[in-house]
Amino acid sequence: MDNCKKQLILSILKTNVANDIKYFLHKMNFTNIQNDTPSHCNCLEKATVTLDKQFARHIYKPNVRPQDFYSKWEKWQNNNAFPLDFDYNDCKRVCGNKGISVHNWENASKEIIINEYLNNFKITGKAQNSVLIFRLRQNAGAVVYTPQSTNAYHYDFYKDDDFSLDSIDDLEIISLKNYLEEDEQNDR
Amino acid sequence: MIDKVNLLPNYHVLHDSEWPMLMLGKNVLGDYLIASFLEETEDLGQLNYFHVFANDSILLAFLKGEIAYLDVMKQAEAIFLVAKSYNYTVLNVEKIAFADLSKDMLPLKSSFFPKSIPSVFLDLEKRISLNKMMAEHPKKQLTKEHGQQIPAFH
Repeated sequence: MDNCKKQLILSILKTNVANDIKYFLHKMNFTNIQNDTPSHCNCLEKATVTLDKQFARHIYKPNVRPQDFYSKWEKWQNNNAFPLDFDYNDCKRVCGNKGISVHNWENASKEIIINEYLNNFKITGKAQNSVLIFRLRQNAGAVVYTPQSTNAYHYDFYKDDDFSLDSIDDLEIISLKNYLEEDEQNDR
Repeated sequence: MIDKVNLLPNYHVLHDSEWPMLMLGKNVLGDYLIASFLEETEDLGQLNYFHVFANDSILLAFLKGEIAYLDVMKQAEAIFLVAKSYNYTVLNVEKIAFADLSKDMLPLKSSFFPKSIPSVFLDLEKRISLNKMMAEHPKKQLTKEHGQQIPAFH
């Protein structure tokens, strides 16, 4: 196959993928994300539907629960406990707290992600002792790439209004205890 | 009691996750303390933290990576279990002895400070050297700012 044909096929494939993403985004509802968000903030501007990537998220117990996918915004709202100094016009802060932190789980990122979660676990000794690996299903929601200074694999995940644990797939739970030295493992 | 135990708003987040994991700041009396995340109790909408008062040398040794956070707690002058709402308002404070903490509430032996020491903590070093000088030359007067002691908690 000559190069021109390859380029053409690749371009068709890319267009199809882009159309799929638009189709899935169009099918989803993000009222919960858009409600209470200032009109000048568009949290979903760079959102994509990412079905081919695996993601990791710390969880508090060795089993996944709906609460593991509550955003900070939801927790503040449900408990009427927004921070007193919260700046509702700060789009980065508003959107960052409406999204849920996840990390792209791939061979190059595994060690970095585990170390980051392990640092938390070592301090608490209790909370955030497990890591959930998962894939998003078609109507789960959308992600925005939000790299951080210490972790280039960070994404904000915005849930579709009807998100539930059925919206994620290929689940695997990793116990961080497995990454501790033997004597520390016996301590827990 | 809450005022003595609580962090003033200008604290530094040393290590962050969904909630701040480690914070360093001062209370109203000017004493340094470390607050560390213990757990989130979602049913109550609460975050539980330890507020740990230790002398400056111990805090600095932790920040330099010489000792683990577990060692800071072992040598602490006072430890408090602080329940906070999701907006960090303090709901309850309880003094607790290290010996009374269950194993699963303790940080791990390898709970070393995960980052390099920020310049703001040079103040701690200054206080330590001034305290040392005070001990060697007791006649020299130090200002109140330099000579803060950990208060007695009852």
